[in-house]
Amino acid sequence: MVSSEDGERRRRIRRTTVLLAVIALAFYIGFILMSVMRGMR
Amino acid sequence: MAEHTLAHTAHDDHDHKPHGWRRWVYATNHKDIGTMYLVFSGVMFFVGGSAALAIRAELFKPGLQLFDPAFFNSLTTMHALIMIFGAIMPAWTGLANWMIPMQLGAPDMALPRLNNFSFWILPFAFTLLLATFFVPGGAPAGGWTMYPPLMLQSGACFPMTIFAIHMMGASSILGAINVIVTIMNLRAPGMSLLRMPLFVWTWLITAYLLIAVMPVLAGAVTMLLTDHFFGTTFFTAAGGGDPVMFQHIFWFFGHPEVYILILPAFGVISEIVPTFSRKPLFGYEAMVYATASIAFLSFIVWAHHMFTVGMPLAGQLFFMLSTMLIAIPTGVKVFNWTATMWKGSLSFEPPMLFALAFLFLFTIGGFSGLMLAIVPADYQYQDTYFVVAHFHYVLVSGSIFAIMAAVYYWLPKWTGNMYDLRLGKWHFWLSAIFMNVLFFPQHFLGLAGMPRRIPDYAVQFTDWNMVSSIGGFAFGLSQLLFPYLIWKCVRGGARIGNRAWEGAHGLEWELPSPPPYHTWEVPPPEAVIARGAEH
Repeated sequence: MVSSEDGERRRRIRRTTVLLAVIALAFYIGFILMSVMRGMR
Repeated sequence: MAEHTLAHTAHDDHDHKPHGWRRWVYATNHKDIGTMYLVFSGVMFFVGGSAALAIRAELFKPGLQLFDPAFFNSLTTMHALIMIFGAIMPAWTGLANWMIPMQLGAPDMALPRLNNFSFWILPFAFTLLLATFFVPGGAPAGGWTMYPPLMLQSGACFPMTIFAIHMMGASSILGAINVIVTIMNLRAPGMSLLRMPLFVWTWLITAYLLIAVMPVLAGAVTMLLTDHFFGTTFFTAAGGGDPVMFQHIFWFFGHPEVYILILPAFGVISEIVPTFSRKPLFGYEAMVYATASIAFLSFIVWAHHMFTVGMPLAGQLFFMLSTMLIAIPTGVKVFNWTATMWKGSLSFEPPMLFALAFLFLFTIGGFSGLMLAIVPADYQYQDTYFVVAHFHYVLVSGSIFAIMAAVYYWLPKWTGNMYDLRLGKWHFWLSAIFMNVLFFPQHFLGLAGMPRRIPDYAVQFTDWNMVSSIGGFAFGLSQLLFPYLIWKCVRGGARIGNRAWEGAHGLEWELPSPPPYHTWEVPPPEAVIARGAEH
């Protein structure tokens, strides 16, 4: 049985994890895209 | 009575610890994973150290003694990759795993299975990297910076190296996510951000740096990979690409990486100096803001690594001045550590000795960094042994001494036994003396013009190279004391109570030593948090 406090904490953990993963992915793709754009100039 | 009640609420007495190999392969407990990281880091420290000793043996006198030049270049490249990604970074992650939940009053890391995955990527990554020694063409020899076009001329090691670096990056990113999620979501009630120990603060900031820059390294090596195998020309001038762009991207990662290696060290020193001065840390909040400032500045200084590529004067001025700005928050830190010791009741156990050596020697590395930041001076120092001396003062007497200080500080907590203090002091004095014998002469060699990354040199550099090599072998041999001391301590020793050191503060010292397998399943009471947070 998961208490509502635990459930809320789990949701917060999931949200923070996804947000940080998206930021990391954005840096990865962003720098490659930036290099592609620079090459096209 | 209060102590007893606290010990009861601090942990679950029923350990339910898995046994045998399953405990380690399926590990989700933060202490087990922390131990695995630390053991892995120790092994890599000796593997990377062996490469360093081979380098110093070759450089003992001029002429080619032991290796052909290509293999020598592989040794320098692999030494750097192993020490940075295999020894120092996993050591900090191991310490974070062990200490962050205990210091925050959290039962474990927030994402234990991800934690297991982060660790187990590493042995595979380094097996792959070390296997490159045995493939046609040998291990990568283009330097840890992997600059094209040299790196693109590598043999069979190329895709293996790129894949290994991707795996190390993934491990670091996942580890960093875990640290941030834990700190933001699992702090005990009452553990506000400005009550957190500085080791946790510095790790939080380090984790943000990791998330921002490890993907950039991954992007850079992905582009190298496509240039090599898929006909793109990101960094190939013949196809309209720009090799200098690789340097910009690499150092956008590379400079914050230096702070990833050193910021947790600042946290450790901020824990140890107050303990052995028996005084609260001077300027706790200033230390937090100084750490954040250093992290911010680390993003806008990258091109000081490449002044000689030919950049506009405005660029040179910007990167020179932004680099010099870092001295301000770093100066705040050194001032605050010194002020903490001022009129303190000092004692000099091994953690404090290593912390004091850190203070003196890291500052020397900082000053030579300031010299390198001066553009016209850098034109003379670029790619000489002066640079080698500089970053070894930062990374050996900075990061590695701080890791040793941290192990000496928390080892009694982890094992429940006090280690052999006399042996610890022997280890310290041998390390501190021979570290200087090894690296200080390299300043003279660099200023006299000896280039780095060469297996042979002009005869006028012979004497200081001999001194440096003797220092290197003595430093390397003295490191054998460290695993011996740890092994002896794990096997037994004088039992300690909750608090191994008289002046220690923080939640970890409220727990029994060794701490039970599961800790803080019930969060610590507010009064205990307040007692631990006496900054």
